[in-house]
Amino acid sequence: MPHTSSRLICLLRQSLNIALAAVLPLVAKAQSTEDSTTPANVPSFLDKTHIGGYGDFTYTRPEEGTPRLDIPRFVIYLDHYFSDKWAFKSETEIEHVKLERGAGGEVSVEQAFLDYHASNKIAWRGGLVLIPMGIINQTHEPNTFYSVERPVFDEVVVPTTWREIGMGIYGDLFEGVKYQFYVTEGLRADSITAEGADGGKQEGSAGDMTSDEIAGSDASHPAASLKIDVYPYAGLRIGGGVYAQPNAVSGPADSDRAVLMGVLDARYDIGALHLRGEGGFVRVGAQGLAAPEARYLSGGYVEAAYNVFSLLQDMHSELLPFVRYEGIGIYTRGRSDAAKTNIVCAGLAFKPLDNLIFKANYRWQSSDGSSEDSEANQFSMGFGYSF
Amino acid sequence: MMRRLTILVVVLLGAHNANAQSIAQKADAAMHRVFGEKCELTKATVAIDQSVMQHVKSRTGEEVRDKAIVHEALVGGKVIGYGIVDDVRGKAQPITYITLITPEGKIADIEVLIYREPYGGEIGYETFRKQFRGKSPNAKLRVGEDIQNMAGATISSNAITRGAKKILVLFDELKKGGKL
Repeated sequence: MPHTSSRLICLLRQSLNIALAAVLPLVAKAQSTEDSTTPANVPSFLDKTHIGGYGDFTYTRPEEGTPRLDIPRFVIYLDHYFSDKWAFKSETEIEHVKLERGAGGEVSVEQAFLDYHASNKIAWRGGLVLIPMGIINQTHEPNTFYSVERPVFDEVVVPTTWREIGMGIYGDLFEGVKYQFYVTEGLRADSITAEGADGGKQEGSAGDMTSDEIAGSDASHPAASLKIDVYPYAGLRIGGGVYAQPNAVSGPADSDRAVLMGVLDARYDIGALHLRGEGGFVRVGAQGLAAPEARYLSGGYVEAAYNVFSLLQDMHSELLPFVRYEGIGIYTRGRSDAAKTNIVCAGLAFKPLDNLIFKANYRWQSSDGSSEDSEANQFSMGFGYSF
Repeated sequence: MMRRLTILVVVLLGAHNANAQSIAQKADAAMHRVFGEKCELTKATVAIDQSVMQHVKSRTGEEVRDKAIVHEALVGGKVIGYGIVDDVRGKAQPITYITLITPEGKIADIEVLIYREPYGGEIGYETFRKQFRGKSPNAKLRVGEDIQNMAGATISSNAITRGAKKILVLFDELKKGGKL
């Protein structure tokens, strides 16, 4: 484990060398056969290979406990265009700054796939892909949402950043309607607990089980996911996703062993007002002794933000007060009532540029609708970037 | 299963052949779509003076290059429309687009020629593009004001709106300078 980060750097360096070697002849070629309508000074290297990244820096101060400073995510993008149609895209991340003697953070490949963009109507993607459920899982760069932490819904109900190995197709069904359909490996159902579905994601890895003999994710219970996004007019986008994993739980063949998930999401921008919401459920079917701890998770949130700088002339940066209300319900085995949590998160986000964000918020949490769960209340602030 | 896979491959390859077009071909197709199939197309490289570059930069905050390739649509020797291909930086990658302009200097249409990011290509939808038609160089062209972004594609919406404004102001300056 201590060598993982140096191995990662070595791997990145090798990838960059390979990318450079692949690109240099193309640069030479592009100069000799330059398309006359291609603007003259677009660097061909940047056209073919791109290095980017995103990350955030946070300070959290819970009402009870120790305040923390962290770099929750430090992500490096690397992509390469073999042609206008074929591309490789990847994200490699270091979570929580460093790994030391097996403790601390995590180094992982967050996405890595080949894309074949046949047309706007149909494209193929294969590799380690993001499961198309809800908003945050596929759009998770810190400058795309206003709170310091992601919504709780996007951890408990929809795991994020949820990626699995597989392949699928995507495109425009017709103008204004997009589809994504993937067949991938599925969730580890026995790791869906009272804490939520997040522990169930395999992320293309055997996780703690990894050894010389066992590597890679368990491919014995595949899943299909489908998402449709509709754009009725500029400013409004509505999405619906379904995830089905028929043989998720071990048990007799004729028993109910499926994991099903459904998520609806909407984003509505009206001038300087930005509204969004997500809602959905996870149903874990199981009979027999190997029943997972959680059987049904559901929840959702609504959020409103307003860019007050829009009231000023020629102000191109954005200052956005925002508030979000979330409700989460978890049904565990042997209990008929749900453990309910309500969360209100209110704060302020400042975007000096599209790709930079500064944030501060306070989060109030109450459980089972009774007493305020003051231990979970916390103040957070941070900043993030993506490029 | 194999049969379905074969069909998918055939569909993908079919789509590939139908869409294997260069930027130049896509630009010509956009010119014909907007100004009519019967118009004749020509293009010329126009040099851009330092003073024009500075003017565009100060009015729009965007850099322009020292030359532009201006497409012209002609009917009976008379210019009925212009088009300028340009790149504007999206979230991480350049977006290649064409701004189509009437002889009066107003936007006839915009069209995305190559979109490279994984998400946000919906700025090419009619619902977004129609907001640009008829805009003059004096229009604000600002997302959240006279242009509504595509939800979930804010950065791309901002990028192409800035790009359209840049090209419109540039075109106006070239016209005033007698270069067109």
